[in-house]
Amino acid sequence: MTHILTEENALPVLLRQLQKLAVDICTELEQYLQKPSKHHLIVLRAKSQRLCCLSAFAGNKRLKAFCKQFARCCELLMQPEADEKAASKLLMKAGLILAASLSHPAYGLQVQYLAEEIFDLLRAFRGGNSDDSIEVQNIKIRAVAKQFWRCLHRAAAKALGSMRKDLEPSVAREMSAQTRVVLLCFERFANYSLGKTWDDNTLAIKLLTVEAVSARLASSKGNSGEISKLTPLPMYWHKSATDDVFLLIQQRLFSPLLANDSLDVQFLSKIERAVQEALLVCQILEANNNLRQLVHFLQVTRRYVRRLQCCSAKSPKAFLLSLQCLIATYSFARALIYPDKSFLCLSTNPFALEKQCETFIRANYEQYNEARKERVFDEGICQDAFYKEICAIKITLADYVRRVKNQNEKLLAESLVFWILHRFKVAAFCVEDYALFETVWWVQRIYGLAIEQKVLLCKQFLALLPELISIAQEPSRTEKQHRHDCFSHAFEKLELSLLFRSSMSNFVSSESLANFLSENIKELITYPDQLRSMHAAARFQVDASRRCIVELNMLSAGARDLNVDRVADLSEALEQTHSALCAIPDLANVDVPTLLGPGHQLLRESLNRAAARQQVEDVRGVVAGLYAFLERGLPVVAPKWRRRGLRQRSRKLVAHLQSNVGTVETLLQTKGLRSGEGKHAHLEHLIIEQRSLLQQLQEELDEARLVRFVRVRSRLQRFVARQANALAKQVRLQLHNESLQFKREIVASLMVPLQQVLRIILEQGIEDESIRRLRLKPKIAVISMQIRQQKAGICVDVSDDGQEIALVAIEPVQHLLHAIGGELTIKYVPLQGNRLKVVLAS
Amino acid sequence: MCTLLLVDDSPTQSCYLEFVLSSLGHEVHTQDSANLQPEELKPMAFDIALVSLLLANSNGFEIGLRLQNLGFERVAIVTMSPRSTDVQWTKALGLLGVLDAPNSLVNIRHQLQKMLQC
Repeated sequence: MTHILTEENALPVLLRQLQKLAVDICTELEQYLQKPSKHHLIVLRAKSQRLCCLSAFAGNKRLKAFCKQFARCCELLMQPEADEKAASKLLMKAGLILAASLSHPAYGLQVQYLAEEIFDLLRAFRGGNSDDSIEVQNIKIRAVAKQFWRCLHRAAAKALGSMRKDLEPSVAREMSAQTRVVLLCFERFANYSLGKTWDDNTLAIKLLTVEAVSARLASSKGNSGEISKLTPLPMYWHKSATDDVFLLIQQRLFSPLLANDSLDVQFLSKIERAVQEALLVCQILEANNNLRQLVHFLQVTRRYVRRLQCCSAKSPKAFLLSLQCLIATYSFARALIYPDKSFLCLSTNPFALEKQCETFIRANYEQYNEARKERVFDEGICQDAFYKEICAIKITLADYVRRVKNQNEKLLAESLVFWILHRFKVAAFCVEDYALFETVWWVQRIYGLAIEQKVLLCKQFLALLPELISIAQEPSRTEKQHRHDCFSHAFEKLELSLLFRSSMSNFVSSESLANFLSENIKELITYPDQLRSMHAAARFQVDASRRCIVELNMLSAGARDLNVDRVADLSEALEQTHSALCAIPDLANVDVPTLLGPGHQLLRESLNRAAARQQVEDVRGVVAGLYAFLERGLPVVAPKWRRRGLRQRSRKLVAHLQSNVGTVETLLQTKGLRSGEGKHAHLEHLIIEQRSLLQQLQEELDEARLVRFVRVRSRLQRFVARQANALAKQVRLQLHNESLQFKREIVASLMVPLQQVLRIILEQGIEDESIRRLRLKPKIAVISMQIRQQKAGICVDVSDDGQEIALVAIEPVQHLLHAIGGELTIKYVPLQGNRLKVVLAS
Repeated sequence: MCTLLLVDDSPTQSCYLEFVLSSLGHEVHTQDSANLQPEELKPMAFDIALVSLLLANSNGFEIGLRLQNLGFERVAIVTMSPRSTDVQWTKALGLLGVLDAPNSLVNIRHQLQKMLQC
């Protein structure tokens, strides 16, 4: 059956068929390049011959000749002696141009796109010339690149023109086909570019492909395809995405690329990879049903690119800045496909990414560009400052790494790393090394992420920083590719190490500390200044001590929870000293400023350091001084302001005694009236009253002989803290049932054996921190004391979570207890700890 | 136009800030914390003292407090990696405020004006 083709009815059909064939040729060509086989060549030849026939119907002689040459080249390639590499390149170029020339249905065939050079090359290749012609061919390929770019540009622009005009759903299918052609153009461009040279603008292509993908997504909306079934995309996305994306491609991305003449092998291979990644995104779009986040990622990327373009249209370096943004996008895309490889996904929150992009653009570039208009940086000074900075950072870092290795890794580099990264970032920005700036920005981001998730950053991270710095120190700007490879390699290592360590959660978050403390910590921060100015007033000391005790209690608890042990130790020691000072009757004999000044000064500095993301310094020296003061025989009594109950009781007793004395006086006055009957009843009444008073007095005295165990709690805790500080261990003492009452002498006589028991536990039972870590025990050991009443005596069960204590060690304590009528037994429970039982009868 | 004292250990950061602030028309004197002799400075000569939060050998809060004790009326903290707690901590110490950088020139100008009105 034959058709009469007229321009009115048949041309659109014909053009659609031509387009389809061109796309099929490109697809087949791609499959052939991936896996060369004769079968693909046969299909290629057949399709190109069909295209040749159809072009004859369309009346396009040039296209016909082109397709003929193409088919012959395929035929030639099937011969065994053909140079496959050179031929495949040619075929690629030809296929691309074919697709580009057929990209627009409304305007007919763009025959001018069929570049003469390619045509000639196809002819030359078919002629089977010698090596000389290959030389000529290479030269020509270089010359053809620019024209090829222009072809693509025009094709895309034309396609876009129609897309903007025809937004009705009826032509949605054509739009989708056009988008596919544009995508294929980009894809073929990547293949075409193999073996060529270019500079670092690789990322522009990445952006371009991602934008094209987003456009494809947008056009698929109207296509009622699988994607539109899967996600309810808003309508505005369709229009705005299409317009913005292709305008962007047309006006911004293509122009600088067209202006660039230098080509690079590595760059082009990178482009190919980028295109593969874009195709991966396509697959995700088609296969995955969780599209919303990805769509948002694409939106963010698009917006970022647009702003980037606006800010730095003059500099091709700006493209480099989008690297990490795209890495995040691709990481996320990969994570969707491979959920088990979630480590690839560094930034799963598109909103955070968006915020960062916008902040970066708005803050840095705008300001920088504004400033540059008014004044020009002296580049020499900046470079000089940059290298000085780098040297300073390196020295500081090396020193820190050494210190960390010598000490322990529990308090890692938060402050210092932040400081280093921050300075490094500024330095990179000043010398206009945006790639480095962006890299460091990302390191900082990873670090922040790690802190938020309470991930313990491992030693590899510390080892990575000097590596990054040494890479950055290479002054040669020509080795950018090498630098980027080094950076990416280092980042891969970092990701893996973070993943490996992600389960460990023992990291200090200075932010949460500052949040916690900044609420009502003003008292403590201003105390050193108050102490200096008002130390003479004893009344001030007592009041300030009372206020400080409250704050210090809160601080120590909070700091202990946040694992900032140095602050917690210092605040505990200061709290005990303040308590003791409140109990001293004559404060004038104590040099309070000398005693408390260094401690509070150090506490303030430590708090400020924590707030400024710096490491808290060692506080052991000051803590030891405070404990030494407490050990010099201070009375173990509750502070004055805490003794309200005792004072009330004594006041009550005095009142009773006064009343009793009053009764006796009354008796004496009424002595002579005994004979009188009227007074007899009065006397009897007085005697009854006296009896009741005596009874009350007896009860009060009985009560005074008993003391609660809680009275010795602070003494025991102080003892444990002092011993632990001396042994560089971290121990917490817990007392249960401490409100029970016992005879005063029993409690007093139990103190020495209990202290001995605690000392032995601290020395032999509780392991060093490194050993505890190896045994997966908590960093802070716990000694628990359960107080019980046993008949008239006392029984204290002491337990710990340490290692087994030798029986020989507790023998002296056993002898001591035997001597006062007590008993000590010990039992070791594997995996739990020691259980000691101290019994003392009345 | 006002006279500013900038205390910063980072040469590039101080170079950058000096450049930005001077482009706003202010006179900037820079000092690093190692060579800082607060006793020799005349507090009246400066309108605002800007102290970097992250210093090599000390921290910005401590230096700020020292300057405040020596008679500097307006002491502010400059940070290039701001956190929400910085403002709280600055208030707790009685300092003027926090200047975020990098920031747009408009914002920096606005923040400085607010500080000068205090």
